[in-house]
Amino acid sequence: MKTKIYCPDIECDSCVKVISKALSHTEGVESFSVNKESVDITYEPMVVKDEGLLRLIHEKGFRASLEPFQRKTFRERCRDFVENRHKYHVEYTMLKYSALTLVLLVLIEVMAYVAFFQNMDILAKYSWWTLYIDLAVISIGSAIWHIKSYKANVTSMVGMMVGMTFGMQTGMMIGTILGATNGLFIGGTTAMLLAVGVGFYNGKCCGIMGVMEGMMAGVMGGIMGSMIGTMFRVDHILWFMPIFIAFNMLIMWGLSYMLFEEVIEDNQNVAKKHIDFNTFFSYSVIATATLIVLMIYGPKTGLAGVGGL
Amino acid sequence: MTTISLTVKGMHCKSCTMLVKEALEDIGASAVAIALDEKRQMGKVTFEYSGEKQNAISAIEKEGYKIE
Repeated sequence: MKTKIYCPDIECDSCVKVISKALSHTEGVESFSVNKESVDITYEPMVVKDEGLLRLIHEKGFRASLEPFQRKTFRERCRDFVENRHKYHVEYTMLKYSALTLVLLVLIEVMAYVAFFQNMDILAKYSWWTLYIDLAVISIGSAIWHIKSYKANVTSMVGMMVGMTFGMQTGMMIGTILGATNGLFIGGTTAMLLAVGVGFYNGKCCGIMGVMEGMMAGVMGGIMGSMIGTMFRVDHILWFMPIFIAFNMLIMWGLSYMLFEEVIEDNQNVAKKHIDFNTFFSYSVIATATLIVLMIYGPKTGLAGVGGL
Repeated sequence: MTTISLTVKGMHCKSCTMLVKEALEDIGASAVAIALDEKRQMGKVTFEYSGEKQNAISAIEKEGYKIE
């Protein structure tokens, strides 16, 4: 009798050897071939059963199933997210921290306004931009928090995606905001430096490939973001921004979704590392405050004075 | 019975540790413990064995690994 057992964890020659050795020592197995993600076995059903073979491979530390391992659809994932809360403990914490940080940041900003400014001009000019900085910092920050909360081996493909998304989105969001308020020079330079740093820091998870991808995306996203901001500022930018920021945030959440699905789920070799709220919150406050101070007191050059906001 | 400690090069994953462990147990070694350094692709292998050390080394080398 012939059967195909799916083993998505076969990665290298050693894995092939381990499985081959186990099978060749098993009575009832007539012949087999170990492929990249599956094992084909011809066996004598009177001596050994499907379940026995599955258990044998499982005992060697590999996932094994008679059905192919499939990704969950978005709908299945949502139901799983609600029903198996303990499995998504880190993700629930991430959402909780993000929401709490947003509320606290807005509160601090309102208090700072009442205490130091009380100037209608500043309110009209910067309130939306301040909110966008909050949203950008929190969505990037929580994605960093998420990725750093796990310790796992990342394939270079996933690492590239991680580095690129962080670099690009940081550059895009911060670049557009500062480009609109302070012009190309300040917006482009700040966003580029920041995005290259963020891309580098997060791309590190998979070595040089992620690092380079992160830095390249940072250079590109930072400059492009500030160009978008500078150019759009004369043409309905306040209508454009909510949509723009919403998409960028969606991409950051998508990154955490992908990371969970590709790297974390069903992976035995993942270690969790708890990063507490105070750390997350203080970094968010430092980043937000620096950006807001730069936005309000920083030089406004180039096209920053053209047109009304 | 003596305790032998070896540094094995070329080990990069869990499957490698399993192979080395099985190779040593096949020649009669016991209490095999392996600390794997995935980054440097090395494993520190400690075990108890009553035979010749060279015997254990060649068992590991037969699996395709090098001893430092």
